[in-house]
Amino acid sequence: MSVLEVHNVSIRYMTGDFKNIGLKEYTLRKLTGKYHVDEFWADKDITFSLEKGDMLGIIGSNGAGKSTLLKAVSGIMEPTKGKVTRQGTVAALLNLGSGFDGEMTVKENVYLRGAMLGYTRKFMDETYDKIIAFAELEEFQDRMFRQLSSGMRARLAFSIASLVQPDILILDEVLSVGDGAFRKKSEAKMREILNSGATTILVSHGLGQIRELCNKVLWLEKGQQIAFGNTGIICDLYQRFLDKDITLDQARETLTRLNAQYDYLIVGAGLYGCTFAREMTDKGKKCLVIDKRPHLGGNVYSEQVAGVTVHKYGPHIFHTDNGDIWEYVNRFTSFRPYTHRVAAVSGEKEYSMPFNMKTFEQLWGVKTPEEAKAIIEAQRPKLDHEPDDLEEQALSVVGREIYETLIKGYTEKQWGRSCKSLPADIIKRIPLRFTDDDRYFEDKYQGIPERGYNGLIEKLLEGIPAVTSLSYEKLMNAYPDVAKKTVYTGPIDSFFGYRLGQMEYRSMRFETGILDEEDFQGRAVVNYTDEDTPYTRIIEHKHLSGQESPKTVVTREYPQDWAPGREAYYPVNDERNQNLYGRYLELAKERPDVIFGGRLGEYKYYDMDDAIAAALARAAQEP
Amino acid sequence: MFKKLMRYQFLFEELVKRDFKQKYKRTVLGMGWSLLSPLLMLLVMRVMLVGFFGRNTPHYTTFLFSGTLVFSFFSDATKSGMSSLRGNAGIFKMVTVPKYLFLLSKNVQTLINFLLTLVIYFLFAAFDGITFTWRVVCLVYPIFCLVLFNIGIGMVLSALFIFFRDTQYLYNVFVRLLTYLSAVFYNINGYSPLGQKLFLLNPIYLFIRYFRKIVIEATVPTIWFHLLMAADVVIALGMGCFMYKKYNTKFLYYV
Repeated sequence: MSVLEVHNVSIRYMTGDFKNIGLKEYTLRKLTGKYHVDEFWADKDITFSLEKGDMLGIIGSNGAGKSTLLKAVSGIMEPTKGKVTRQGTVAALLNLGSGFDGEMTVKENVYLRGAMLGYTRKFMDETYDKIIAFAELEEFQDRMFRQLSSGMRARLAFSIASLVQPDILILDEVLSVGDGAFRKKSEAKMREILNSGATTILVSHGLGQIRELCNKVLWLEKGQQIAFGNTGIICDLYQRFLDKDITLDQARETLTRLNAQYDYLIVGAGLYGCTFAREMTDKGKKCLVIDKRPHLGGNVYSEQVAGVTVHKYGPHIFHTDNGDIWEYVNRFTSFRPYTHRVAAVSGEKEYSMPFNMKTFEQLWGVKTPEEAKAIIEAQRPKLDHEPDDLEEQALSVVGREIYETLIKGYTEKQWGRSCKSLPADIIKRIPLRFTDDDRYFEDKYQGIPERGYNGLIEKLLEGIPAVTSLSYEKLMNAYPDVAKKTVYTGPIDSFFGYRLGQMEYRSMRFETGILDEEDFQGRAVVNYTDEDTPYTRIIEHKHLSGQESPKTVVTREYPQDWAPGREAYYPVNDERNQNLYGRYLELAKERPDVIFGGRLGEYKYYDMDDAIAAALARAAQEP
Repeated sequence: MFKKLMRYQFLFEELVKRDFKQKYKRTVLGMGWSLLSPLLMLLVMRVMLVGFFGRNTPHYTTFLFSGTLVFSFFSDATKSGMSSLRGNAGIFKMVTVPKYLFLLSKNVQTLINFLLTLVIYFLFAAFDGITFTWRVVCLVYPIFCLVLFNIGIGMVLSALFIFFRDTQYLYNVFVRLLTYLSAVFYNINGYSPLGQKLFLLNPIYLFIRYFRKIVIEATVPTIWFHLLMAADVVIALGMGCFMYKKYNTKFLYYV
């Protein structure tokens, strides 16, 4: 049985010629037909119910109908339509500053107020001293009320009101009053009341306060009920609405989406998630895609800066040897042919990448493959065992000079530790090309989507409901049964609340700037391989998109350790993490309704084509 | 309703207390004023009018006092009742209370005032050579009726006053006119029989007349007279309750 039930409550207000016009004006206007009254609905069809101990926060812009609703709930005002059912006593602490009598003493006012709030005389006799002490007005008891300062009045009003012990408590912005010490005291007292188990409704403009205190939230705008339910998601939407990030209709739309039932919930709107959603939708399943970021696309998302498409999470060049995948992505976007070429800068000198005849010429001035091979061979240490670490591995393949100039600094910056402590298999294969081929990727198909990756994602998700800025945890709090199955593309350890410990990731910091020149480095990516440069590379975005602009946008990449709150980019697949991942996989067996996928879900580095291939394969296994 | 009153007993007591204090705040004589003012009025009228109206009217002092006693009770109660809703808007905007509490509280205050004046009235009457009979007990009836009548009119006025501020001015004018129409200080014997009948349409005159009959003439009015009074009370209370019932939820929008 609900403690409070508000059913289809509407409250109509009148505005216009009816208030304070006097009898003469009233008669005149009535006679001349100018009398005019507008009605407006301060609240329209509000419906919600609260259980014992529920704490409801009412949010909404000014004039949303919040205070009017409180009046109806408390019984001060009769709803024009609809019904309010209450179980038990109600105390509404509204307009606490009003209703005092300036010409009476403080003591008399305390008793009168106590009577208004429904206390008994006996109760007032017993608690009067406490009230005065709490309000710190001992010396003012017999003064006229009008002599009190506004702060004192507020303190007194609060002190009397805070003694209520109702079944339903209604508060309108009275959570704390006064300044400094009293504020603290009143806040503590308020919390005490709120924790007393009363069903509480409060209106507050402090969204933080509502998030902290309330388990339910009612959102009103212009008298309309936008949402009623779990605090987290609705408060987020409201905040975004306040920030003009979304419109009211979008907020409504989002809530409608979340209120539906789905076959699959896809957590993370990256390539893996979007591909999976596309496949299952095409199979006739209902999918909902959510992402905690404010946009779709995961790491392939790009944004427009100074007329240039900027890959927000590092440069993404689509390349694959797999004809099926190439065909698949071409269903959703056409590609701009692009061949990726990268230069490396070490010290003052620029080198061609990956290591090819141009690189060798830049290093040693050699012209023929034989000369280059001879130099490298001479620099390679002869190992009598398998390489123990990355340094040994690299040295044994490319020799000392290439390693020290072009590999060591870059790799150490990238992984945040010395090459000696990195496992050898991170760079199993270091291609040495004894030709002039300086294409970064040798794949058959390469390119950048014509309308950017956003266009690709948009097309992949066509007709599929998606909600951004929504974390999995928040969604589960409010809608635990939103879907039958879940595809989780976030970090697997976070899904299990890190209960076996955190796995390690590498993260990245991007520093993007607009430069007042047409061309900064002549190519999309330049690696900085020496240890003294703090960033690993500089990306000049216009070379990826082929856009023309009088300005250019460049991004410096700074690898960094991952910590909660940062984006996880790369798994750190060393032994410890791999073991930990294995144990999480064991845990995952207990959740057959959850599919872990993608770079973070599978703790595995995926190129874009691999991610798509993996999603297609996984989706194929689903009925 | 009775149960409700019990629930609001403490608030009602505090309201009555407040109304008393509000009325006599910062006055030297306090409640003495409410006795003094009708007495002074009485004195002036007695001195000025006795030669004029008093010639054909035995016990003119008591006759006059009967009129002013009843009339000022009516006028005080309804005038203070009128502002009871508007004056307490701050309260009924804040908590759920039956709105008639405010009016009742004002009426309690004016009733006590009236009862005090009544004591003095009896003193004056005795001084005026009136011999009291058992019939004085009958005065309970008009007093009771008048209280209800005042409440009824107060309800109508307080509701109107919420809607129209001019109610106050109009009512003041009306009360002054009513003073002259209620035979407070003159005898109606000089009018034609029809004219005398017309006076019966004025409820206030009925109350005054009742007092005079009992105190001066030591006779109990007819049963018809009683019923007429009761009818007036029913009408007044009926109108008042109707206003409160109908507009109970609307008052909030006007204050």
